[in-house]
Amino acid sequence: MPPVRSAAAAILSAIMLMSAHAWAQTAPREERIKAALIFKLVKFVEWPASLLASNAPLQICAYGNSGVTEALAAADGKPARDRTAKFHKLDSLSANDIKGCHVLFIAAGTRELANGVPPVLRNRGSGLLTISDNPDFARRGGMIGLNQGENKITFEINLRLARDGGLEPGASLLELATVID
Amino acid sequence: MNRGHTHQARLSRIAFGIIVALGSHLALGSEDDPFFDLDLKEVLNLEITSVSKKPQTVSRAAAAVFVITSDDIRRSGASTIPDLLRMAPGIQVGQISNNTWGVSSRGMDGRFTNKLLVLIDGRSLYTPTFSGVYWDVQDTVLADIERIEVIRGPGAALWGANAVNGVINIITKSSAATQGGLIEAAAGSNDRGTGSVRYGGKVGDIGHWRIYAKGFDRNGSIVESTGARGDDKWQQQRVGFRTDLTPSARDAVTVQGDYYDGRSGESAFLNSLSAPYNILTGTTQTVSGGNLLGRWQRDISATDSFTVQGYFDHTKRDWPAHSNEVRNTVDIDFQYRSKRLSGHDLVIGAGYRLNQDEMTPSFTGIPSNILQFSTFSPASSENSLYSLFIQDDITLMQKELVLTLGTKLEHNDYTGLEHQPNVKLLWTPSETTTFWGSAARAVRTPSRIDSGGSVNQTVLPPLSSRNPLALPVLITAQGRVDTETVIAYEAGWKQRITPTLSFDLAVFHNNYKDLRTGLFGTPVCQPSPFVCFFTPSQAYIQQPTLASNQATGQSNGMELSADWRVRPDLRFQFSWTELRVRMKEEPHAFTTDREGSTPKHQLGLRMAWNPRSDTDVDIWLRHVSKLPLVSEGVPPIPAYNEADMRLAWRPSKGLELALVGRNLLHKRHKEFASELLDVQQMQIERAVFGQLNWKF
Repeated sequence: MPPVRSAAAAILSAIMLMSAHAWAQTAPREERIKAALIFKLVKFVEWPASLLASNAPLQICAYGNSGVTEALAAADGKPARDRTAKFHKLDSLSANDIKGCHVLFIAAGTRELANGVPPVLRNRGSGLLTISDNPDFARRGGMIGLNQGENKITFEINLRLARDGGLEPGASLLELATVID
Repeated sequence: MNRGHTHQARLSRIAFGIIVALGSHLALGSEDDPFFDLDLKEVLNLEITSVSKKPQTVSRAAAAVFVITSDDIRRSGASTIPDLLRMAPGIQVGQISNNTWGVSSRGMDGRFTNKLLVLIDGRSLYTPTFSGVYWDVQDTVLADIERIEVIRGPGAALWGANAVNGVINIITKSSAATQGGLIEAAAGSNDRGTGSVRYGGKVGDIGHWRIYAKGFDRNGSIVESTGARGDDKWQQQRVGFRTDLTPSARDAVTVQGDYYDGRSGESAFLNSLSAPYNILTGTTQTVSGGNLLGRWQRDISATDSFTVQGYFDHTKRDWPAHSNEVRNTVDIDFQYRSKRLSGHDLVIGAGYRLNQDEMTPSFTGIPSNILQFSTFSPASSENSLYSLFIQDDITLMQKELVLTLGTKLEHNDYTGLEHQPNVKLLWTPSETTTFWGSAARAVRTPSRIDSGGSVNQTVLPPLSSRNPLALPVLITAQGRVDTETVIAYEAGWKQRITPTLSFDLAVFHNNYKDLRTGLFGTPVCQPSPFVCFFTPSQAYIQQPTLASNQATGQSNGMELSADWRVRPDLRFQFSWTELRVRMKEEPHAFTTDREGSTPKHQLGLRMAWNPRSDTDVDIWLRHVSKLPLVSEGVPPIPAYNEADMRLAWRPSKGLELALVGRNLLHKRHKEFASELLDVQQMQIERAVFGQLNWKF
């Protein structure tokens, strides 16, 4: 018993010591990678000036319960090219809620995606970049789909839909993406 | 701050395009996620972590892996972990009673099966008492499970002894993913009530946490011989917490713990040396336990990281006629990963585990003339385990060919040093195709019952079908068991045929050596020849069997799983397992790993359909072929087909109502039996219940 007790005490005190520090956000690694990827890739997309003025903030919105949403919140206030990113967590995908968003992340498994991408997210010239890690998102009406490939996160772009939406993904982005359609 | 500078320097070096110049000049504040400071290419090169010793996504793993996702769990309607495991090919789940299962990988199933390693969040669940798992106390809020990785085949090079035929890795969600409240409630024909409450929150910027409480009260199944309700009632309550924290940009810390207590009833089959010899009676196991685990992961640089994990686990089980067990486990693990050498991905690790137990007889609720199934001498023991492992993934051809070499050295108090090497080759000729092969040696080291334990298997009453003598015969087992080994050869092919259709095929050949056996000895009249002669009414015949390692065996098998997403709202998942086991025993010896406890075929088909986005319809069909001989004295268990169905409706955001039917094809059916013959033959009933799930 004594060695068990003392080892347990050692673990406990180590945990206590660790707990005494200050912490930050802690989504699982995979979801943190996805969030970072979203933040990085939006910098390669051009919005029409009518929808995003040259020094207006870039509104990044997220919907759905996921560690990606949590991790993406860290983008708030960060510089994205010559603008500042603003993060918003949405309560619904209503036209009213998504108004003003430039980027919209929808968490995988979100109910609204069960039957493909809802029409409210597919308006021509809306300037809304839709991103999701739902399977085959970019093949089913979304613009950028995040996938698990090899050991890493990869992404697919539906170029036609992005252009329909009034967006222009940069060449260096297309180089790294799987382009479909 | 030195590290920050080299980090910045590296960023600039790999930089490409204009964007990096703009993007990489972000402040490295300690509260920021360091991933946000990488450039796009670097983010795309980050590898996904899992709790496995080295992170890998499943499709490219050189192993037979099946993942049960949280969505699979929710849609299955299953209310226990063993029932979830039925989804995985190669896994055999045989329900013995309403709170007892035999769960095995690649054959040789039993209540006391001993060749499968089970972990939850890195904590080992198998008990060193018999190297198996007490499934009745392995539980959590099922909605908090992120995934269950089911790895068939040996995992010993990483996980150590007992990962002979498979590893089951249960991984719960990070507390960041379980924010807010959740209430789950269920009740139905079999379930007098199950309730879970979970709440998760943040403490400002200092991280995430969740706490949960869960309780259930379930009915027994049906005794086969009488058709009466069994005594296998099951009642349990548990509480737990998990905190995930990032003290700095490079550190991730998890602290979690659980406490539970409850009662697991049993329609027991007990023995005594006086009439009526075999007693059918209800017993109640009183169980309780708790654990506390801490894990710290640090990224030292872009290529190097380490993880330190420690846990303490306490379990207590008062099991009438078996043992009154108290066990404390302390485990400390360290691993270091480096990708510094180009083309190499190296992990080295070391571990220490201390086990302290006290095993005394239990007569709780039963007469004192009942024989104990197991006795342990000495009653108290302390065992330690030291281990070292190394594994290297060597890229032979970029993106195509990876060779993995690894081995684990483990020292235990029973058999000393054991080595468990593994070699694997992974070939990925295209994005959609993976081929792999593996050869490995794994061992099962003796458990407490194998060294200093003795077993009273059963009493054959005088003048009964299996005993023509006028005296009762007691079958006993004792002795020392040595290490059992397997050499396993595996190969697999994973293919994505279209973006919506994929399959995963694995084949294997296992060669077992030195399997545990009982060797029949010479019957002796007890308590002494003198008593036998003069007062035979007080005497009995003891048929001793000497525990030994005198069997070899072979198994060959195939496992196929296929996944077809027909439409966004319709998905089929199919699994097919073929398995042949052959044992070869020395004369007069019988192995405890019976070939007859393994079904030759198992099939499963799951359909997940969303007729509307707020409605789920799930159907799950299963076929398990005949079990010719689970144990001497158990009649063959016939093949069975069963079906589960779940209908769910979400009337509003966060609220889900479901109706679940399990084992719908038969009013009741038999699945399995305890090889120790300590449980009456039971039948599992059809069950219908309702579920409510409310997130707020």
